[in-house]
Amino acid sequence: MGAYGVVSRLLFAIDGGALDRDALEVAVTFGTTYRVEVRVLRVRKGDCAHGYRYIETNEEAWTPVNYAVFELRMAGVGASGQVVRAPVDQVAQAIEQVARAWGADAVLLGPGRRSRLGRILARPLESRLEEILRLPIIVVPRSIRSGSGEPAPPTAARTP
Amino acid sequence: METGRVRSDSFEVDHRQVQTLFSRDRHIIAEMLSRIVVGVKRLDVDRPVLGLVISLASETGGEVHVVHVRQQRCSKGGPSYDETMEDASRVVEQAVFELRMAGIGTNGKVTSTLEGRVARSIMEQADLFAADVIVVGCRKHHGLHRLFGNSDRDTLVRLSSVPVLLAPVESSQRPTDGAGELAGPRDLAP
Repeated sequence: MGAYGVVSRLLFAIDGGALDRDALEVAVTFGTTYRVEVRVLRVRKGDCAHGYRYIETNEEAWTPVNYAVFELRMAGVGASGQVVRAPVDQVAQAIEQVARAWGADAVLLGPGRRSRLGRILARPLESRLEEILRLPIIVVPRSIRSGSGEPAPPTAARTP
Repeated sequence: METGRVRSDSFEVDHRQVQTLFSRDRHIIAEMLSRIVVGVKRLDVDRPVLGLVISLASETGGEVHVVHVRQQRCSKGGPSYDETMEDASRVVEQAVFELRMAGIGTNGKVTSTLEGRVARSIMEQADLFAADVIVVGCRKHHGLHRLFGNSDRDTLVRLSSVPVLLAPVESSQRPTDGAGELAGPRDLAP
């Protein structure tokens, strides 16, 4: 993009929550407007307090990734998916590694699930990511105009 | 780290919901990203940000609104601004000139606000301009700034009603004054 060259690869890091709906719309918009290839990334967080037990199963992690890839492809955007594992405090590093390995030109982040207090107590992901990543970061806010009131994507397969 | 390809066996998607969504969103997609607000602090530092804005706007034929915020500080001698109106106007004029030279429809504005309310000022301008995206430069921070982050940037991300694009600027060109701010020029080249 601009000084960074034309953007051709957008890494879309999803959180797996209903708020990813808005970020997905922005990913579709970017994908169709700028004809970029999108890689949907989900980081499975391992909780070191419980012996690196993962908070979700592999299948649960893949479900929102598959959904996002499907929607992007339905909109005519070239999309692929990836799930990586990382300790809960190394999510930014995991995203940076994938961005570097895949050759991303920009990173798209959803609003995250943290409350205002949570953002004060712990630095937000985009803040940690911009310390280590030399790429444009698109942050989709919680109160985005066009995305409010949309139906939430199906969450991970928790029903039997 | 585990990597893998998309598995088709775990698709559990309501196709009707997807079709409804996209038929409703087509007009949004066509309209989005055509109005960009860019917050400029120092032109020598934020030139990569303008480059990013040029490539975004030239792709969509969009319009750009350049915003520069003067900050009012309260000190012993009374309230004072961190820069003169002339300096602030020069930053905006130069940014508008560069964008127009690149063929982008651009206008600019200098606003003044209290210190710490830069993000709100940019958001107000974005609302007035009906922006689709806000672009600001992001800088690496050190020491306490790294620990506590950029309050203006965080406020912008938290309260904005449109996507915020954080464009990295060269760390060697970090401003020496007031790191963590979004606006306010120093040492401008003529």
